[in-house]
Amino acid sequence: MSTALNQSICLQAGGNTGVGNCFINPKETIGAIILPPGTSFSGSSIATPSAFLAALITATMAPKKQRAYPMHDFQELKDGSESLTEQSFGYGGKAPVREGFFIWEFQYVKGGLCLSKSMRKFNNSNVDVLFVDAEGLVWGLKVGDTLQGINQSYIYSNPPKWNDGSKATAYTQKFVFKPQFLDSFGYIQLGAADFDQVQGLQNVVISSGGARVTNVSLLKANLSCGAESGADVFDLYSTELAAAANWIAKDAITNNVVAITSVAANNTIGGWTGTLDTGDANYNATHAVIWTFAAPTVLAGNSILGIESNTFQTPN
Amino acid sequence: MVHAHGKIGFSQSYAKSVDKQTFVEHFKEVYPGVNLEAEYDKLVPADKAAPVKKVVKKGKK
Repeated sequence: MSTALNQSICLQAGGNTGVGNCFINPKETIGAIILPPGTSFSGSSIATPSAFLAALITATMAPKKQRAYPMHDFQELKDGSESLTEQSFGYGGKAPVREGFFIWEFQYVKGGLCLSKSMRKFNNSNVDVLFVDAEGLVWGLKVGDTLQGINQSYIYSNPPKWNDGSKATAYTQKFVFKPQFLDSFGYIQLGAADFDQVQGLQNVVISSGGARVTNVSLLKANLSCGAESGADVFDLYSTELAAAANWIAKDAITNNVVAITSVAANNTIGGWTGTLDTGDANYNATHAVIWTFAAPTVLAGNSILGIESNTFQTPN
Repeated sequence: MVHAHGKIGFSQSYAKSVDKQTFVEHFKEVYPGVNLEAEYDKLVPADKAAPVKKVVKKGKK
């Protein structure tokens, strides 16, 4: 006769420990992709590795609120993750209290002060992050049938430690996040070099190439972090940017779009001549005009890759 | 000052919205020396003009 007397119910909570020939074992982290919180990749965008790669590339050109910001070439990890917090008891016993946060600090060189300056704009922001290992494993959280970044308690770009003659200037990026992601680890395996195709946008500063004459503006453009190398935008895309579709002009007062009638590569100024439609109802000769490049996705469709401009206001 | 221009990207939608004379007038001072009439013809080919309707006389076999 069975009895429930003095029978405690103890479920076995462990997991099976057998291992197969193929298992996930992330290599050193060489990059990260910063995402707006809640960003998820699903459906056709994760159907194949190449579809996922294309989705990542597209995400780097999305409007800022949906944009992915990749970081590359991490050189070193300083792992400051917290150890398990334990309580010690008077009789000598111990018990686990809580697991510590992951605290990772990566040093990078490529991008230098420019990248550091951009990353500092994310300090203390609420972001999700996908990490990338040296063999192309892009990992974060598996949530249902989606891949998401790991929400960060915070990320922080430290002020650089200056070159002291024996060590290069140290740019470091900190990521702080809870260990719970381990229970929902999600990943997509890309090729080892695929992540190189996922590049962030470079800022372009548009400036005046000469005085505006009625509906004719003279425009120049330089990479905000690269002009010192002589590679201004005219050197890269003089012909490609000589197209009205790659520019937007707006009335500085009404903010209405004004029709562009032409954009020409101007070899004299190393920039472009832009003309506006004086017959456009939105054109006003007495108002200043704001010029900017078209959206990065539009530019990419016209073979102009990886740049986004500021806005430049010509005088009236 | 005359500026040396390389490729000129004319707006096709603008060209289609105006006649050739307006197009030439609009650009002649900005792009002197450019054959603007030819540029207009490239942007707005003549064969894109509305086709002439055939007149069919009724009652005739």
